Amino acid sequence: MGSVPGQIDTTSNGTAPQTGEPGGGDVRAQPAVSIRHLSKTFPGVRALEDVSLDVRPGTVHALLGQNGCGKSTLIKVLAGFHRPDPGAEAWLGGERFELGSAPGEVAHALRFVHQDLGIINELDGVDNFSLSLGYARTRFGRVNQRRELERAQRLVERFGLDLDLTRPLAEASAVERTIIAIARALAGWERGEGVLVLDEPTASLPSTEVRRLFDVIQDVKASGTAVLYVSHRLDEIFEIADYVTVLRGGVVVDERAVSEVTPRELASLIAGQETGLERQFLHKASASGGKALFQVRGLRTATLRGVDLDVDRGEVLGVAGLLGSGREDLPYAISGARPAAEVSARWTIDGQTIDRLDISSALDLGIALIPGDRAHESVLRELTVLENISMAMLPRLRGRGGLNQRRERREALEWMRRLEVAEEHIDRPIATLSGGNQQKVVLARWLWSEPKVLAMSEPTAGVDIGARQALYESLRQQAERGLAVIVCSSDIADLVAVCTRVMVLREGQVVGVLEGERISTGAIVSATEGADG
Amino acid sequence: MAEQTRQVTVETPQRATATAKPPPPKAGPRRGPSLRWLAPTKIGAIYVWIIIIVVFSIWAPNTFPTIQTAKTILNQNSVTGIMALSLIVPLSARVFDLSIGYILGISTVLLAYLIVETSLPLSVTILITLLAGVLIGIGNGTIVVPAKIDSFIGTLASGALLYAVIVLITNDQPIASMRLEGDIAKLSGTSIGGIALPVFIMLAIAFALWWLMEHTVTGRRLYATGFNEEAARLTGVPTRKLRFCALIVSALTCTVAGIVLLSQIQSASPEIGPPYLLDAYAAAFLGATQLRPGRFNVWGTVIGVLLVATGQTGLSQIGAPVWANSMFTGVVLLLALGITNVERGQAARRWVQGRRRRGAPAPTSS
Repeated sequence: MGSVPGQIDTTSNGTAPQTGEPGGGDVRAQPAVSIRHLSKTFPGVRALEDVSLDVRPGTVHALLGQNGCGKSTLIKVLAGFHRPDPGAEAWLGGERFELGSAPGEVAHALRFVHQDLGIINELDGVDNFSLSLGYARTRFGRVNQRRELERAQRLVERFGLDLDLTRPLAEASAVERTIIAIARALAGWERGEGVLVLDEPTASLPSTEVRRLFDVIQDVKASGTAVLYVSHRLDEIFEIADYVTVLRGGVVVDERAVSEVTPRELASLIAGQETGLERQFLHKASASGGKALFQVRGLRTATLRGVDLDVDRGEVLGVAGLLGSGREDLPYAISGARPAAEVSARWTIDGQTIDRLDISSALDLGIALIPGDRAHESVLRELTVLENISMAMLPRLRGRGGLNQRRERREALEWMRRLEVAEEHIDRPIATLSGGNQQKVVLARWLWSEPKVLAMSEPTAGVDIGARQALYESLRQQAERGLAVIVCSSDIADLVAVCTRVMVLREGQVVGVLEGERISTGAIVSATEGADG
Repeated sequence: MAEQTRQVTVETPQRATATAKPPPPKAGPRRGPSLRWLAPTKIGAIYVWIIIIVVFSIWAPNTFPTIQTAKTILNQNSVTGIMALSLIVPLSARVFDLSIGYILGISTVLLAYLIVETSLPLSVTILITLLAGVLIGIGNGTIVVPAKIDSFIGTLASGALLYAVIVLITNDQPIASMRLEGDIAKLSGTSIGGIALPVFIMLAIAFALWWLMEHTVTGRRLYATGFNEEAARLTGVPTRKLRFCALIVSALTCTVAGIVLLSQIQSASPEIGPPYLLDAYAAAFLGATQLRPGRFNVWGTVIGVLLVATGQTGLSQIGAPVWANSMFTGVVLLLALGITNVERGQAARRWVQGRRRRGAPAPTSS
């Protein structure tokens, strides 16, 4: 643990992959790709620091870490979208190449399947191949449909994909589209050349389809192609990877053979014991003997299968779970943001019980939602900070003769002061603010409307560390004043930092509740994974 | 804040040359934010307008720079003005109403028909016409909101339906009659100080819409709906209702324009409406580059209408060929939008550079 970056020689760890599959049995002299001393600095942020990495042919090498650990920066540098700081060196199959050169420059040996797959759903499979591989033409310059189809079929054949390639890919399943993208990236590598980089390939896959993707990846590996597999999901690593490199805060914290590490160890490597974010216990809400302020019973949606939830005044309830556990669905479902027909539950708030909740009645009842996708769901980019802050309060700012703009400005300024957003920003478009400040504005918007319950999804996504602390602090204060808060986050640091109780979801059901002292990164990780208890 | 102001005023001259005459009166660098209003970014069209006035005044010194010309411009463009204003509400909520040309047409034709073929009092016929306008708006709203048909296509289709009705009513012949030169003509015949009543109608509509968009909760929510409907919805904005009502507002306003138009030309041809569509959109989009760049706004739109009208009047006075009018509109629109893009890009770059210079790389504030 805590090994020096680059300490990945054959001596420190057992290098022989545990499987005896062809191509993976021996340590080959040449790693398919090597990186040394890669650092990348963005204005004010050190995204990567002295990172070294070797990926060997015929192995699956996982790159693991939380959101914001530098994984995506590393991939973008490899893909040529970012230029690294001076001093970085890299080799492809023993040949020197320059990191951060134009995208596509090194496509002969390094290919990518990004998270969005780069697939055009409206086009058929053949066209999706041809768009990136070039069209075969007949002698008269017409596109040679037959040869196109043959090539496409040949490329997917090895993966046993049974799909009509002449139909739009929108009709295919998510995993089939992923396989198409992989097959396309591997075109011309039938003999197992090169390095294939898969960036979070399971992120948008239903859990039932993940297995099929893994079979394909095994296939690729068996052919001899090296696979760099980027993920933040622990469970997958043990299924698919031979080696794992863990990144935290832009630094390689360890590199291991997967066979030599336990899930628990790996979890603590990912999260780190010291997150720099102090855990502060809230005063436990004085159990007012009886019903909690906010109760949801039997919550069912497409992903949630009968969840019960209680939050009282002064409590911060955390909701943990892997992608697909229903965690990302929960805040929307309980706050009326989903179409009422897709959610069934019974809500009780402040003694009032209802069976059906839409967004406007939720707001009337004092249930507020801070959505997870800031750009699409909460921030109005073109409007000013003032207009963004007052958005939820508008009905209550009606004066005689329209909107009471004097009061609006005065109280908005007051909220900006409270959440430490510089006052000079008030009339600027909110898009000019950093992610952290935008999130503060969004928080101000909802706190101003004085809700009883505040549900948050991914409260710190894209928020820098300083603003995080400020956000946590504001949440704590509000809870102490009697707000009931629900924090749903994939970032375990959020949960550890602010929650009084953490509810863990797996496959749409509550599988555990951690309270008080028992809330820790390790405990949350094991509960979400279901790994050894 | 002061720093930003200074940057804008100091850096304008070079850029201003492209569109406008020398920059706003020299300002002490530390003057308050009021001076930002004079930046070409915000009121470039006014500078262009002034240039146009100067150019035509030199070109046609005897006819152009007169009170009469000013009155003509106002009086002749009230219909275009009302049409352009009718677009502000739907466009702000990101709804296109492409049927406005036909709504103008059908309200003109319907009112003419009622006046000529029935003996109802004028007030009743006008009321019926306005009611028809509201019904058309409800129809458009139904197509776009509950039926979820894209407004661009939906209102294109409803426009075609309206045209069918127009041809049905008129039998594809213009309605002309002595009766159209009676009371209805007084509407535009009345003038106060040489300014015809329709101009005041346009101004009244402008003030009402300005109040709505800038000083009411509904106005704020319309903008929010247009900029990010999902975020607006999750903040409790009744986005569907607003989009529905926006189409009623535009239909009703166009109907008013149709009534004014009939009183001005005293006949109703089936083809009367559609030519106004383009000018109205041009003015509304031009307006969105002015005063509150990026937002469809009332006074920007009024400036847009006047700018285009002044140019066209000037062109006709110097005896320019007929095609010059459309060309002028097209060029002005492209220039305005193009310059706004360039300005915005530069503003963004300045902002980033300013940040770097201040040594505040980490994007936290204060």
